[in-house]
Amino acid sequence: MACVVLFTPQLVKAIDLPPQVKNYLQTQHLLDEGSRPLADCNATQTGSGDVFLQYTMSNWSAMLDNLATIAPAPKQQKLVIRAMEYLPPRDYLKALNKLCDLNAAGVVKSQILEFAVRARTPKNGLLSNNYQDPQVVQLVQRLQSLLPKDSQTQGWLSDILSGKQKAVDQQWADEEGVAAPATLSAQ
Amino acid sequence: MLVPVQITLQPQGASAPPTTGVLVKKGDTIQMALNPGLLNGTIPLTSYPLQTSQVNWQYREMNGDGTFTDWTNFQASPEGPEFNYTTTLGGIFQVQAIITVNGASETWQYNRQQDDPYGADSDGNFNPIYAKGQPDYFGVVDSQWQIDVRNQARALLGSTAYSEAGSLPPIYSGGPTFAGHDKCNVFVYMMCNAAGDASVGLIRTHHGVNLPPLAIDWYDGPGTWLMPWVASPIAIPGWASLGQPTWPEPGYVVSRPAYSGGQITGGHTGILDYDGAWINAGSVTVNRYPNITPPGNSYNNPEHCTYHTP
Repeated sequence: MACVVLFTPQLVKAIDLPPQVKNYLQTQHLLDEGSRPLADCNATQTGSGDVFLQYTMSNWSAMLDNLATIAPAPKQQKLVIRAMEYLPPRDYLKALNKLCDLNAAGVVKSQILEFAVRARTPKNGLLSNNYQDPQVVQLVQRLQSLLPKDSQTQGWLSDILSGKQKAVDQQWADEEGVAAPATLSAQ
Repeated sequence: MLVPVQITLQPQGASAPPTTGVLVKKGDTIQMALNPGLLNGTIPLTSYPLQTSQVNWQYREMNGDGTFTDWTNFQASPEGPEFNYTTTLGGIFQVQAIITVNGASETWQYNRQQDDPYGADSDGNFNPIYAKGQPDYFGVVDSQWQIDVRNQARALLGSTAYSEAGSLPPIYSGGPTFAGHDKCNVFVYMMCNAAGDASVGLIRTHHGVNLPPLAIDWYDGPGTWLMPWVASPIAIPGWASLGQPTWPEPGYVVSRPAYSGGQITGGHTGILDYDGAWINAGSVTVNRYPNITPPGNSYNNPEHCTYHTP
């Protein structure tokens, strides 16, 4: 008996950004100083940056669903990524997985995906400190499959899975005086 | 009558205006003209339709906070369509010519003739102050080492050798490669030492590894430091801190702190170019995106300069 499988298309709900958030994405970009958190990286003073940060933390999932529309440019995507670093750890992992989906769909370039996973503060060491967590293992293995084989990040991802990177990131946090890497709560 | 005006500057003795900006040592002469043809001989001065009395040249100097002095006459009397200025002040300058015909005056400023090819950061964000038509500058230095350091840095523009993700050849046998680290301070260290007359030593030791000065060492300013292993800035032998200088000069090492929660978490550093741009190692490329002058697109925190002492 033949079966007909019906696929119901997953509709993405459009997002209507508040004017301040839209303006922030259109006018701001990270300063060109490597891996700094969003609070250090604004090209302007705080104010609109705080609004953007708070909005992203509350609406990150919808923003990622609509990233191709609201933040098509890499520099805009970097702003969203930096803001997501303030999410609770498990949500942050979900966000990284969504970025992987977007990379697979061609919305996010490999360089941006690398930029996201190599974030330092405030999510420094999250992956390495929880290298045995099933969600972390699944994410890192997925990143290994998505990123170019000759990417410098591949070695770093291998060090995460092996546990080698954990001590490195903990030492970095001690020396920089930043918060120790978070430990994921058991699920 | 239409008069062709395109303010042009070049060092005396040069065959054409340099494409990398006019930069001379104090005491050198800069030729200024209302049209490049006056400098390259294609327009004889005698046939240019303006008299000496009709053209007055002025300059203003960049302050350390990115503002400018007032416009000032080079000379008490008008200089004419073509003028040779023997430099007496170190600094970074804008130029304009005031043309007066039949009692009516027009101001023509020395502007960029093209977009700066290195005016964008690693992400391609272009600083609009480097666009064609925006004010251009000439720079004057006190000492040759400043030109040498600046030229070393300019030679690396566009390079990705100092990208954060990449590795450098060890700076000494068994030394660090800085893989995965911001390299703005390593860039400054390498450029100063490559110049040959502005050496910088390895002033820090961390886990047995000798390191060049950090950006905050170049900054040497007040603040509460977050990083336990840094504690406070270390003086750099052979270099003196100017703080935020009254009049910055090309070739100086420029730096600023980065704050988080009111504490200094690090900083950024580069080499000043002839127009106040930072030649700096960004996250990927060596570029000229930052500049002492505001607004918005430049770095906002106080910028300090450091110079080499003989």
